[in-house]
Amino acid sequence: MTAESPHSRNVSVKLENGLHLVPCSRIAELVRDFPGTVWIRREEQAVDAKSIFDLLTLQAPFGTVLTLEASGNGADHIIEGLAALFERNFELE
Amino acid sequence: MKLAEFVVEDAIITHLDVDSKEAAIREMVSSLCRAGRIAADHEEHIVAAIMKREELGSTGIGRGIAVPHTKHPSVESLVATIALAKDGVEFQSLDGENVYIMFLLISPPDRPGDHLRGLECISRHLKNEDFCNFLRQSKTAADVMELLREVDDERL
Repeated sequence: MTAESPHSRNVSVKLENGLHLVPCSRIAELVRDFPGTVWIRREEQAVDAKSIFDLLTLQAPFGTVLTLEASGNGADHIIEGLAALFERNFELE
Repeated sequence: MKLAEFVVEDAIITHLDVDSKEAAIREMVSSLCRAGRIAADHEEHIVAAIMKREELGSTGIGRGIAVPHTKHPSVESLVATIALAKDGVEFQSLDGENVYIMFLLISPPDRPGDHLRGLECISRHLKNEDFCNFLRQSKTAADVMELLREVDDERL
């Protein structure tokens, strides 16, 4: 796979209170300096992971499956980092 | 969900003049108290809970906007107020800028979906630059409510 190919992975929201402002901030913070693009998709809705405002519009409660998509140099690493945040439950609960 | 359904008109502050994040939060909670939407004996506890939430990470989410919030069992449904600070408030925002528009939310602990819907509603409208600009220029609570109804009805 070339550096420009999109990478994607499904993750589940395991936070009891859903994807609220703290996790959204941590996602935006993680991807802020990534030069490529990162989208988070919930069914038909895809939002820019660099924007907290966009992330909050996902309105994703506990159990929601989201798809992380990234492209650009280092996309695989950014997906890994984001998936790890979800797996660690954002270290919140 | 519509902004005008959960923002309490009588608690809106259009000329907030404070020198700290805590003072801003205290004024907004106090305003909800004066408007009769939270009981006076819960005021201190709610302020403390919101400040504790801020320790997890500032709710100053950039572009001059903050959304301080907490859950509290004394409310049966989502309640919110808005404060506008012409001179800005230092909020330790993620982008390092002062905050000029604050939405303070209190939601019932057993209804996390309501909280997410409230945040979604607020952030969706705050992406609209015209809305933010007009909001910052609002002089009275009635002006703010009219503006909320305009964005709720997609007239802005």
